Amino acid sequence: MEHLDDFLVELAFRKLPLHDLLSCSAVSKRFNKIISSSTKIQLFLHNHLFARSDPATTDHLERPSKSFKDSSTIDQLGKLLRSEDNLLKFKPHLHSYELPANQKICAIGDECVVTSCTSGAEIIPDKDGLCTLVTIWTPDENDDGDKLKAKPVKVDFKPNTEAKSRAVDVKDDVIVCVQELESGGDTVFRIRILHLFNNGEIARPWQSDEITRTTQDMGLDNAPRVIMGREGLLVVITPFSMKWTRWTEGKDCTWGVIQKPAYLGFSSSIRAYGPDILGIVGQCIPPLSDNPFAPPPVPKDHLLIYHLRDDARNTLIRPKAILRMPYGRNEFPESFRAAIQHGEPEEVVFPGVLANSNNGRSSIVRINMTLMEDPDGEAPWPENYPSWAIIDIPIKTIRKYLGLISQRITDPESDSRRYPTRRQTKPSSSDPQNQYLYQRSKRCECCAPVSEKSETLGDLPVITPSQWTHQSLTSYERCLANMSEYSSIFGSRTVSYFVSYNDFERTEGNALLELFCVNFRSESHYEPGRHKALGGLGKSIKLPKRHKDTGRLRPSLFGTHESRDHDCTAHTTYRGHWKTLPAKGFIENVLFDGDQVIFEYEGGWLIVLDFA
Amino acid sequence: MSDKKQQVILQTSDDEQFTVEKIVAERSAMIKSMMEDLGEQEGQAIPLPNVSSSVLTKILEYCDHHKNEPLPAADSSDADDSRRKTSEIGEWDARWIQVDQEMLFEIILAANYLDIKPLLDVGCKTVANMIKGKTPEEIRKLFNITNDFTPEEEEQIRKENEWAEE
Repeated sequence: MEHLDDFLVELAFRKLPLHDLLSCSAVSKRFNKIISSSTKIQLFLHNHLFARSDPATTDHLERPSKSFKDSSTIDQLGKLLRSEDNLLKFKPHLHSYELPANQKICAIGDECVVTSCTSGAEIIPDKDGLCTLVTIWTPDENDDGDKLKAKPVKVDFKPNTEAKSRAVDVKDDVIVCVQELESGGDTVFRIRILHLFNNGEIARPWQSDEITRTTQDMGLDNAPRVIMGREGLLVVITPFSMKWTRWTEGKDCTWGVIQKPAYLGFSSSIRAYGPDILGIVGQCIPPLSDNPFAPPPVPKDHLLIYHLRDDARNTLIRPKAILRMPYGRNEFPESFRAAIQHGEPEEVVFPGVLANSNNGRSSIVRINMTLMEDPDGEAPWPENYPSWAIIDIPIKTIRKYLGLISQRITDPESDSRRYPTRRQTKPSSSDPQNQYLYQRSKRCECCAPVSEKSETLGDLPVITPSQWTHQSLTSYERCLANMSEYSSIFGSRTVSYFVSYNDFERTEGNALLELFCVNFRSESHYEPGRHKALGGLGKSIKLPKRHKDTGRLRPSLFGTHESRDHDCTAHTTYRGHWKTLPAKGFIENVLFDGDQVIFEYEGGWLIVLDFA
Repeated sequence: MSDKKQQVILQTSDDEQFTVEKIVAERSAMIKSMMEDLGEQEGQAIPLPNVSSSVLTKILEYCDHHKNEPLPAADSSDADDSRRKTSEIGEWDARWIQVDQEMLFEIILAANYLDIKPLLDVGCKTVANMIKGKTPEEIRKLFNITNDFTPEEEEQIRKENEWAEE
């Protein structure tokens, strides 16, 4: 090893997964120095620390988008560190823009917003026969105000107008589009991978990416819905089948088949997480009991987790872990139950939906569940909004259940203290049986005990809420009725946002807003302002100087405060009264891409809190 | 281009000469550019002062096996990318690179010197595979590295890296 130059050793290190890389940093001073002084490796480590993305190795880091500017690795690292600082200190830039009517945001990227026309709208070709697929909006540099410059991305075919058949990822410069073709009286659908930014304003398939395939080739016969994940992951869904591939493999890509369990309804909600995890939440009906007098089984929500392995693409993918969602207030953690008034339904819950994954970039699985029926008619004011249970499960936990990370059974109590000494940890706590009892012992006495017998779905074991809820964060909110339609790009990574409306200080058409920022990461390893090289011996990262950063909002304007909940000490909640936000009627949508929070108001107003 | 197989002569550090097909030698971007510089001078040997004959024999085996594959474009980071991202080593390559450590490092050094990107990649992946799943102590033993940390430094690194253990 000593014959190899440092840069060759670095090349080998760049092929190591996180844990092995950190093991190498503890081998010798030379290895440590190679890791702490390589910008690429540091970018990889910081992506993991901030949970911005979880590439498998340093070489799997995504290239920065070609769209706007080429930035060097050190620039990317600098941007990551600075926006993390700004997020923790709550110091955003505030912008507001007006979008034309009938545009729906489908992706947000660095300094741009991509919209498409609303679902079902007729697309009319221009004089050259081109149809506008999406429009990219960037701030007009010649204008200090709220003007946006539009750049339509056109295609030379008529795209299918069904909203879900179009997925856009600005960071990969990619649009996945479904094209409708007439073929001998039949309608077939072709999936096309287009690039946003080549060839000027006309999106075209890019070199090897043209995996144009008709749905007939794939054995599908219905308008497919497409979902994008990381590393080219593409999941195609029709009412009858689910298939997956990686578009990065080009024309010759092979397709894997995902089992769609018969007991899962069509109304299920599907999202990709990272390059290899697919989550489906839906109401599953348990198998009938042998006892003819037993009451019929109650359908309950289940989260089905699939692990999409490239080396197992020719085998049918079955769910690798199944987490049952809480049913009834009893099954929620105690802190959550305290928040719900008695008299709220004991038997929850409407079908959950998965929110919060920006083309697979989210580091948490968020499940939104309604606790009671929608109020009649319009819901103009917050007190009429239906209440929601919002459950956030870190992907790390999911990966543990999949066996991708070695599972360490920890006492939920000591786990909440970050680094318990051996003496603090109760001797019995490593026993899973005891952990389970601990969970049950925390149930309040006033509520009926829930059945704790082991559950199965078909022939697969089910992880019941009592086994996983302590690893998650559950909150309770009143939100807009259409929360289920929150775009696929709401939220991401360790810091998670959600809004709620506060009723007081309300004026006509103007509501005070609260923004919660939930931080899933322990702070002790990160000091804002000081950029430490990871895996090293306290060495700092030198970032290039850049122009003075002015015009950010001060955190004092938000009344930020930190709150620590005893049931989940690992999480910190920041709460802001966002009086400074200009309210423009009602918020339709909130989007978060890791650097920016965007509030989309009815009527096309956008308010952007930019932490980058 | 003529059908006659074009040949090129390579001369190693221990003064051994190898006559190989041009298409095989061209796997090395460094030899390819040298051939372009030399032009059509028949019979002139290309000196490779950093490569021994035993290592070159091994590497030519690799180049011969892969001679019909498209060459990675010199400046194409995309082609580079797709290769890097497939984390597995090909079946033939994996068998071919089953050598002792000394030879493995010699191959990596030569692949770097000769500028054979896919080979450098295979070499680095092999080293990475050797490291995977091992503790720092096991890695030290594997590569015969002495632990030059003080106990305090070791403790500091352990603490710094705890975040990844969560």
